[in-house]
Amino acid sequence: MTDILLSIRNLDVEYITPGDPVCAVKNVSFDIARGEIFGLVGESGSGKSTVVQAILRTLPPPAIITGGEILLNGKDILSMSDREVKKFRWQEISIVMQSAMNALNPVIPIRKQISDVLYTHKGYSREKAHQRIKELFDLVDIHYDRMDSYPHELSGGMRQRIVLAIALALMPPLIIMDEPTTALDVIVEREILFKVLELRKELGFTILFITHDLNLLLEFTDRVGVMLKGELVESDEAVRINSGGQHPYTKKLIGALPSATGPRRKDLLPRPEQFKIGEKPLIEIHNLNKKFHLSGFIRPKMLHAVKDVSFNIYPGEIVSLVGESGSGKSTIARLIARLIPPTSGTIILDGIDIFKSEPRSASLNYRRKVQMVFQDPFGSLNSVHTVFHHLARPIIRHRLIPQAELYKYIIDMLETVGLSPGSLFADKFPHEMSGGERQRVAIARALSLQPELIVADEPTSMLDVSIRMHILQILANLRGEKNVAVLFITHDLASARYLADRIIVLKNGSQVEHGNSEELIQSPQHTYTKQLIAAASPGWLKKNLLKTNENRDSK
Amino acid sequence: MSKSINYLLRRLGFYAIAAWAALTLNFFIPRMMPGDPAAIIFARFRGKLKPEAMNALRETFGLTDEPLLGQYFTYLKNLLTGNLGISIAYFPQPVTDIISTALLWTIFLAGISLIISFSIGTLLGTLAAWKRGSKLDSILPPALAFFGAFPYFWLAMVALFVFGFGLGWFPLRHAYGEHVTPGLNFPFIIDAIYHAILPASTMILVSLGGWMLSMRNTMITTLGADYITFAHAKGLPSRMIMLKFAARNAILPNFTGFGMAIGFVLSGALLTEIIFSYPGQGYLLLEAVRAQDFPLMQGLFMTITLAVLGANWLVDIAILFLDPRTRR
Repeated sequence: MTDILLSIRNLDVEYITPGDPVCAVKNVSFDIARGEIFGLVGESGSGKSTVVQAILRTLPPPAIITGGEILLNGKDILSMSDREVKKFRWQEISIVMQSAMNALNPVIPIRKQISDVLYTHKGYSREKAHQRIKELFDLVDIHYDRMDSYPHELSGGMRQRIVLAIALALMPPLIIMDEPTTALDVIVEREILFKVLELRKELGFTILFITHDLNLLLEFTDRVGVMLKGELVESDEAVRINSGGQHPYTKKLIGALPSATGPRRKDLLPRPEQFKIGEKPLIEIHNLNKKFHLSGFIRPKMLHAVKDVSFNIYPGEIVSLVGESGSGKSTIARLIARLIPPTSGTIILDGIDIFKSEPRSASLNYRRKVQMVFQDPFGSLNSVHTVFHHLARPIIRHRLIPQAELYKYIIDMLETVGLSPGSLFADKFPHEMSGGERQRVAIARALSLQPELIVADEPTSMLDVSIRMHILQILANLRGEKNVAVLFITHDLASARYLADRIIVLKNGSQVEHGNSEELIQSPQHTYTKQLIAAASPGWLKKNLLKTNENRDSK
Repeated sequence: MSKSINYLLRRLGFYAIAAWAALTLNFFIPRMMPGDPAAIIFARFRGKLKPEAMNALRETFGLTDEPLLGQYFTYLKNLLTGNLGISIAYFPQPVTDIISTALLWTIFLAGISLIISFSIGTLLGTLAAWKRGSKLDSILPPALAFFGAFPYFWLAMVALFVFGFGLGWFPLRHAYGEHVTPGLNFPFIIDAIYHAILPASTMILVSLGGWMLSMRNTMITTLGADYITFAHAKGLPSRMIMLKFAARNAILPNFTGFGMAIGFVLSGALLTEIIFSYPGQGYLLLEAVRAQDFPLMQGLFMTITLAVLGANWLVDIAILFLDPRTRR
């Protein structure tokens, strides 16, 4: 590497706490050459975002850079004065942040959020700024009619393209992308990445790409650095990392996620053939509809969130609902858990039409048989109660276990979901546990009522990659040991394939395809399913980039 | 933009319905009372009331020989033409005149105190949040909370005693002195401001802490938002980030509180006006209750209802401008 743009040498960042300082970044060094794409991968808390903030010098207190240097074009960023830093930001380095909705000021039109940079750094006149904004909108393929829109009026993908336009406004040599696509749906994610790569080819900037998703990085980066607990444990060419990597943690990350396509992995879970799946359906759902009232009293505006969805789940079966955000999958979960009433349709549980026999509220019996695990393990446990309390309350409510045996029963439950020793975890409060541990508690809570169906709404999407597999494993084991059926709701085709016997694909509230997992993945019928699978396949980006190049050449 | 107008018209329609409901209640409640309210009041005064007052009372309640529906329409017509009847306590002055004078004083005193208190409190809150942990942030909130925790009437009386009675810096009562003639002349305006300083300062002192704390707390949450970090990364000037990004967003909930406060203000700062014998709505309400002046009370209730609804509509308009997300 001859032409080095950014060089980080022995960077240390500490958080000053009342006790001992906590090391967030330890002795991290890496170089990024001009024009390359460098990927930094790590789980939450690995310090990757802290590195980004150190580069921009936006570290919030009590974080302090205690050592090392950061050189951009040979200039040391850390020794600059505050005034110099203000000037250098955005001129030299810009950033695309994780969630575009939150990166844009909600009360100011997007035009002004681009022009403020142009005014501040370049002193542009009104006309000149206007001209530049038009150019930028063109670059990211948004019609400049949209200039006066507010952030909430744009879709997630569009907002992220606007942020990209802001990042390009001053043409800085380095653009940092901090999880730029995490909040987006798969297909949109690929479109954005595709756009980024296209622009890079055109404009030639350097990218530092931060993500927790190693498989994604390997698709398009030149080199990859792997971070673990504040340290850079490995840094190498993407190709070499792809073929295995050196550090055990890298290996673990590569093996952490199942793939959506290609041959099934050897360590996959046992298949449904090996289980006894009941012949009579546990729950039958017929023509389920849900409309939400949006606004208007006389002429109401309705959102048809779920349209004529019908399917069955058999005892001991795992069925997966796959769809993007807004596809109605969470609404279906809530309908089945009877947290909200449907507009029309029937749900038959154990041969009983529940809306006919108990139209107003669900009986205790129904609540016991159908239990839910929520997406956010941080929000679903009340922070003022212990784990024991969370598990004991539903059991007492349903009078399931005599008081004397309650404690032992709960300890057993905790150990079933891998929280061992159970007696230690029973006394913990939610904030004393990691996200993965909390999600296990949530599963234990659902399980403690001996339900027949567990509705799991994106149970792994907020967890780190290496923990996701464990949670999936627990869900898979449940049906083996307790013959519990699971309705697994996810946006991730790969985990659906990994866990479920059958997959139902949803789009805009309708069922577009339904079939056995493997058949559906191998030979999708519907265009939308095909799109989803294509977007989740490795090599998608490269293939498409080549394609557009050919088109350009032929023109 | 047409969507916004549509929205405002819909809100206006809603408030019109609310106002109509309140006015209708105001009409029917006296009729649901056992007996004739006018006669009850007349009896209570044991002949001290002139027969003309009795007739005025009857007329106010619309207790004529007309059928009920007819009475209702007469009542509505009277309201629309601003005829609220004749006051008993201030006989024979029309209620409309009495209330409009009191309303002006209330808007002057309580309205200005509210605006000053809101502006200073919000500004202090912004600065405290921006320089979190600074001297300003660590001294002012507890100090203001301390003043806010006093019973208001006690604080006002102490202020009146010390600055009005003891030091003699400020007048003890009324909205203006006897030596000036009311009207748009310079000595009168100066005198009115002079009389308002003490009551206004006590009101500001008590309410400042609330505005400051709520602004500070909302803004600290806002400062953690991604768009603030993003603005810093963009290298924008600090003042711009503080005002256009952080305060601009944090002020929205505070502003809703401001709208609600306007409603309360127009119903009169009761305690202030009583302690300082200030001729506003609150003082008038107290007088009306004391004198069992039903026409005046009815008129006051109606003004308060309309004022609260009107203030809320104004806030709806303002929020529409401040928060684009409501323009749907």
